[in-house]
Amino acid sequence: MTTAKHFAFYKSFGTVLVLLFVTVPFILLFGFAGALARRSRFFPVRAVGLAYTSMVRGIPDIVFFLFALIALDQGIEYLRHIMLCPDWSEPIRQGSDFIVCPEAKMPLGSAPQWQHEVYGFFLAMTGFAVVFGAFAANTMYGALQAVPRGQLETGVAFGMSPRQIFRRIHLPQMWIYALPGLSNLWMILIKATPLLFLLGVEDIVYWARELGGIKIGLYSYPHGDWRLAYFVVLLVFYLGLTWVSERVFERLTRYVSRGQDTAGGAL
Amino acid sequence: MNDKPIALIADNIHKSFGGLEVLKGVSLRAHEGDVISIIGSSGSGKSTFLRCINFLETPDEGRIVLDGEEVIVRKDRRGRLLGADAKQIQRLRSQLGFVFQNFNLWSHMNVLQNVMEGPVQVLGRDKAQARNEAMETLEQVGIAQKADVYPAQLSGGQQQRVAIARALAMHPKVLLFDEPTSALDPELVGEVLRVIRKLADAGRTMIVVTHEMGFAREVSSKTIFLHEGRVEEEGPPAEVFGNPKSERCRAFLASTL
Repeated sequence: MTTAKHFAFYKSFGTVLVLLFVTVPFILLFGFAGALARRSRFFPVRAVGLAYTSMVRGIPDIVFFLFALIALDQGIEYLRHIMLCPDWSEPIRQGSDFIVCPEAKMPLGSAPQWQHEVYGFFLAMTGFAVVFGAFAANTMYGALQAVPRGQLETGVAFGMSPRQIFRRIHLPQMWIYALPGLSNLWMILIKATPLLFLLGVEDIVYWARELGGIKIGLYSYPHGDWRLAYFVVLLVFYLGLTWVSERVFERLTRYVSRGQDTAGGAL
Repeated sequence: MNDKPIALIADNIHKSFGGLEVLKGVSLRAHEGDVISIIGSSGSGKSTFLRCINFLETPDEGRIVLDGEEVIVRKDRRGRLLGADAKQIQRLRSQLGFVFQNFNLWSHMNVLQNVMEGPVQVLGRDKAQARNEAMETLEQVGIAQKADVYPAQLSGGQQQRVAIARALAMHPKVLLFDEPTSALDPELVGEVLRVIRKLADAGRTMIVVTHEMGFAREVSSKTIFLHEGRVEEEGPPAEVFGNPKSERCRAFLASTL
């Protein structure tokens, strides 16, 4: 239980948690931007918002991760290639291979391991932020639309500026309607981390399968199929995370719906 | 007739929604301390007229002058008016207290926060000072003991009194009431009317759209009867109610008794 691979397994719990918490602000940011874009009075902005929320939501996550993120990765390398290796004469695309000069590699082949990990992490974060941001955008858009007009109009009648109305009235009341949808999204996000493997980030499910599999004497120490035990550990981890999340969302919901004259309003 | 300074002029206000012309040139002139009641059947344009005064609806034509300052407008391509200076309109709105039929208290703020919001955010008052003033205005409408509760915990009458306090806290030059008692249970109407009457006695300038004929007759200094977007009859309430010249006004009054 103390081999290097086991430590990688333990570390992957941390990776998953860090990824979740680092990604959430970006998801909310993308969601927010998407929702505001869809409400824009300026048609092109509205069109971008609509395209973002409907297209990204419609693409299977795994396709998005395999296609968009690898395209992003290759795009970055391609730009670096053009800038850094102007003398390179060989074609970049050779069959299904994508070959850029060694200086354009992201990260560099000579870079330490942690840079590779951080880069993979960055790609993963971008992927989750874009995909889940689209869902968050739709949820928040609906929530912004659900705030009663009279609440906002009163702000107008009191001489508040559009910004003040948004910040002081629209936004606080929006959360009441957005929270259930966002909590769903969070739960799905927690469960989606095995997708990371597609990007070379080794998450806990990957390691559980790896370490739990049948081992023969050649390396580590031999054991039979321990995957069940490993997966039970994962089960406990995910259920624990779910339990904590539920409690947190309960409290948040109670907070944002304080005073509301609704079935769930906390008086 | 009245030598007090003029607080508010609404001149020749027109407003259409779609093809329907709701206001066909309504004018009003309020001197300081006037209480003007606007009566008329539903659909006569009373509420729209009130909403045009603080530009919640932009009138298609006409002008609004508050305390000598005219709302700056420009015309769009179709010749309809647009507010030209958003900052000016915001400032003038902050000087016009508005009380809605459905109270519209901000549901995520408690009573005290509701009353403090305008003074702190719009007038830039210091919080401690705003809190003291808010408590005083809540005292005036007799609801200071509920300062910490949320609007949903109050009766309709209490909510409307808070809404009046919230409008008063802005120190408005003119108070606009849009059917302030129409959403209330009959037994709650009295407490709200008492508060409005007290404000009238204190010399507040007010424009009240109402269905409470008894109240309009007793409290107002002038009554306007609107019919299909026009002023059909206006004058001191004793004349409008006691001896209406217009046939329609007479019919309306007969139907409300």
